[in-house]
Amino acid sequence: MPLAFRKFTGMKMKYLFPTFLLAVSGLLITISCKPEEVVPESNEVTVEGKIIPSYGGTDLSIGEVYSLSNGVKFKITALEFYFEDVKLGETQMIGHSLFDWEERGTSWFTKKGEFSVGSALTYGIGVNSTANHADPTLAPTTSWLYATNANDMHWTWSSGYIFIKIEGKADTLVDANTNCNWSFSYHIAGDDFFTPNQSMTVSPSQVADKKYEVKLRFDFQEFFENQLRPINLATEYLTHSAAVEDELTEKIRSNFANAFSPY
Amino acid sequence: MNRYLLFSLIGIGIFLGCKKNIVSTYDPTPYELEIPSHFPQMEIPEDNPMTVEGLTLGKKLFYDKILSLDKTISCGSCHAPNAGFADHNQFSSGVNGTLGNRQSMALVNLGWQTSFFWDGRAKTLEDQILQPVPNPVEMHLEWTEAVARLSASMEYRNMFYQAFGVSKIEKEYVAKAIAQFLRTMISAESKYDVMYKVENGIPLSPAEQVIENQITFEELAGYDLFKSLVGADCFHCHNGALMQVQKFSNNGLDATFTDLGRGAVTGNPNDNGKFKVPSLRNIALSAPYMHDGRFQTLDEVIDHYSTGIHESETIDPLIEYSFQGGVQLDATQKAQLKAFLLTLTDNNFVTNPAFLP
Repeated sequence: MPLAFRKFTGMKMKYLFPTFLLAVSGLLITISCKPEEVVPESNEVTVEGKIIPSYGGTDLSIGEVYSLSNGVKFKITALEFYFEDVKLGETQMIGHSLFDWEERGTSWFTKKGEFSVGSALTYGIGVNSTANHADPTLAPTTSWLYATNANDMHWTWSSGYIFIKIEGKADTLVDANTNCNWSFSYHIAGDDFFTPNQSMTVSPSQVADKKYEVKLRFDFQEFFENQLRPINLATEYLTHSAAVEDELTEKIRSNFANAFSPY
Repeated sequence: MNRYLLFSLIGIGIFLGCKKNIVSTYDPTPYELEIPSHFPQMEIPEDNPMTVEGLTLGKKLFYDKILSLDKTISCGSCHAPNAGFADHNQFSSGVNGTLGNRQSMALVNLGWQTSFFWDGRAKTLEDQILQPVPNPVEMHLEWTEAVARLSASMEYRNMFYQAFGVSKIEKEYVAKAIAQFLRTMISAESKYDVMYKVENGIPLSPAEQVIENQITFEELAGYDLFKSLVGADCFHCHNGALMQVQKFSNNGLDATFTDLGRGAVTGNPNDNGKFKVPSLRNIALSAPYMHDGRFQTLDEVIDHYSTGIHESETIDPLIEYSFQGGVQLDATQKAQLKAFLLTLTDNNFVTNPAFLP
């Protein structure tokens, strides 16, 4: 080993430990003198919306058989619908939601942000005429209006989106047997059947720290057995919102809108 | 000094020897899919971005018989280009001639599907691809053996490295590569596409304008019937640019079920007898039809929906005329409907060299 290098190494070893000690001490002083960082408390809250299909006071399951007051048995195989501009107080929860009981259960929307959780719930049922006839492939891919997200809830550009879809089977013969082999299918679409300006007062429940839940009930009893406009499943079993079906389409639209209440 | 040099050279030699002949570099070329103007965006998995190297490897694997037990069949054997990437046999023949019980599904526009197989048991394309190789009625090759065979090939080792930067081949990379290739198989150039664009005011190219002028009255009448609620009423399940919706349906084939379909996957009796709604694209090429290939011709299919519907507990409510056996088309309507179905053939798709062996 060259002499110069040995001298340098020896000098380095001699001063290495004190230098290291000094550096560590300095570091500790720096850390201890650093003012304590105050993390601002987040005011972000989460609101989760749910819609619970029910009959009277009983929660329902998709595909299960239930009875109407008149003994007619029914089961729901599809319940899907669009809500538009859902607001809680002044805050929009979601622009367009697509409820799909079979695919997503009772989930309706989830909203995170810094806002005060109000109790005035407003929404429209369906899709406004401008969005209804727009190219579904040009909607944001995160929107429920986007072509692949809408899936079978979008027909064609001219007819637009299906606002409400209720499908199921019924047994209209009231006896001891259960044979749900009578199909019913309600597809509500078209600008004339958009239902704007729905409102109700809800009581968001706090389910965790800064987490709230808003639950609505969709009552099939109110839907099928509306006092003013009861639906006869034996004769009123089909509408695709064609012009000749206006009467039943309007009945379905109206009963559907009236079937929601705070849970 | 010479001794150090000698050791260094030996070390370098050993190092290179251990690289298992991988002489490639990992610098994949991103591949931009061309999405047709009237199609939605395709969702590409974040962990499997499209690359030129990936889909090139995928195509090679798709047509390579090395992935079957006796090296007699490849993916392409049961998804043949001349059959619209399906199989003209009612049931595809696996290794040793073993037959399954379902018809081979057409591979078309798979990048937009949300479920795979007739019963939807795979949720992603990558998951789907993992299944036929070890399936006893298909390629019947354990993945460990399949990976060993691929790993024994210097060409494959290089291709996997170029595509994914890995020196150890795993089945998941096989699936990713084939998935990339399959996502490129987009069919959007049929006469129906021109009809769809005209209907929705989407500008046509000069070539498409020529096709527009060739659309016949019979085809248009068939399209009207296809969409009509009081006609053939097909469009509830087959609509839009993809010519399908993403759902499972019991379309009235049987009153009782020998194959539970979706119900066997979910265990839910309400799903019994339901199968994935397929796209009707290239339907004229992909006979036979239905999940069990029971219908040999389009005429038989049309007859089924016209008068052959069987009611059952899970029949789709959208089969609205099931109570009378179907939509009751007359001979003229059947001919018009068939004429429309033929417009769904996309010859550019099935002859595209990029998709052929």
